Amino acid sequence: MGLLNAFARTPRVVGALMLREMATTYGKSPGGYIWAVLEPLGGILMMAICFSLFMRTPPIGDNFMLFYASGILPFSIYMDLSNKVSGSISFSRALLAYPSVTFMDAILARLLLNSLMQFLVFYIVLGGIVLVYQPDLIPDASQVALALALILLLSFGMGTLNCFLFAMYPLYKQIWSIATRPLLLASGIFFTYHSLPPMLQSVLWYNPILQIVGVMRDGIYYQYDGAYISVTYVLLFSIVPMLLGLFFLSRYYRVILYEK
Amino acid sequence: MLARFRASPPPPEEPVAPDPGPPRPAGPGSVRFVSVSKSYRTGFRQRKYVIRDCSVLFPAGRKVALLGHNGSGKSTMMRLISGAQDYDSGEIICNGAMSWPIGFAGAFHPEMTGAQNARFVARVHGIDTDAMVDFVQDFSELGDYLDMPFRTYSSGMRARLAFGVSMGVPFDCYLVDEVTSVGDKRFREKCAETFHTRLSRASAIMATHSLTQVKTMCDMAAVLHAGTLTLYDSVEEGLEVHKANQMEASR
Repeated sequence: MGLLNAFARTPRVVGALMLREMATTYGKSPGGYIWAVLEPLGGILMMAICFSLFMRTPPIGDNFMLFYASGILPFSIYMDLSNKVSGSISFSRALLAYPSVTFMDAILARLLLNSLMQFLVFYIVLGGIVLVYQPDLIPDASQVALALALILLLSFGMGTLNCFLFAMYPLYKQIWSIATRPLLLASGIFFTYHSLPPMLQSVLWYNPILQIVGVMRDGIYYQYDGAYISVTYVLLFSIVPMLLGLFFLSRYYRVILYEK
Repeated sequence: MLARFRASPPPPEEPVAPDPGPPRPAGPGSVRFVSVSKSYRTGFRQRKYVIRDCSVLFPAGRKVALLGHNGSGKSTMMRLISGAQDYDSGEIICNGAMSWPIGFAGAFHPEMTGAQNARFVARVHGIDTDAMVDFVQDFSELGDYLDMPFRTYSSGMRARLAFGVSMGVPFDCYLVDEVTSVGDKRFREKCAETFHTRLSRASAIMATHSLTQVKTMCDMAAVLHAGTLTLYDSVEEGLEVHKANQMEASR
């Protein structure tokens, strides 16, 4: 296997894994894979309708739906992608018996397919809000794209590290699920960073999802003040777990497969 | 005007591929162990060694029977070679394309049809998907069942699909872990024949308890006993050592 061979092999295997995941997820429900878009879409709409009943004026802008979507979308994309990536070895465990399939293929396939689906949901929700409510917007597309790229990187980083840790230390999985439960409230979805008391600001600043939500709102609202955002911090928070995760997975994934 | 066509030179002769001769021992299809150790923890400060500081070369083009009594670690050896399991130290160098254990059906998805599963394996290995499905259709004799979900298959049908898919991919080295005989006598013969043609230029490592299989298919033997792996150039010699080991183990 030369390097050139590997360049041709990886896209081929990743493509095959993506097709397989599309064919097997939602295989039993009528409509099939269209649910991969409809399910998160429906969830976000339900929540948005409930909250809009008692939170009429958002902290920024005048459209609650837009404010809520700009927070919940990055959050739900992160939750979905990091979960999918961290489960990718157990999801593709049987396939790793083929010598041509590596754990990296399994992770890349899950990340790629699910991020495509999540970005599609993002596009539909934001597009729908703009069409229905027609809010006055001067969006900064490059900031929005930056936010999406950061979510992708963060979920990949946390996902790979957790993929290793979940498999090696099953107890850690329960602890992680309890510890990250308040994330929905602590990520600045229902409020803005500026509306927080200074004490909370100094603590929640370290939440990378809150930072990414800030980047997103900075891109969507021209009047949003994003001076507190540190893209470097989010990058560090993604790249360090990513390197650790990839290092430990490449060393231990065969141990995970047969001796755990 | 026709003269121009008549004057065209005779078609060039079909180029004849030069006979590559016997494969080099360390060429594609060979597997080299460089002081490999593999052990399992069996208790406090106790380890059972499957192999200890083992250096061997499974030569290219040879069909090696892996002999060893129950629990000596044949299946572990297979997984080490196919790269699915980790070892303690040393290095295993696989040359060329290694197969997964022949007849392995564990990676077939129950909700996908037999044809879809075959196509997936073809895609992963860079083979034309339609050619693969045609081959499996022709070989496995599953007929219309090929378009039914895999979960509806009987165990015989599963084995036939798995063997057909394994035979549809050309490898340099085939790994065989306990071939269970599939189907009736005619189908078994067909399997053996196809496997033989596949093996004509490739190498193979087989773990099996069937003496007839060892004698008809293999031309070398490797005996795994008490943490050492020894290669014998003739199957008879290997079988004798294996028998002696078994006597010792049963005593």
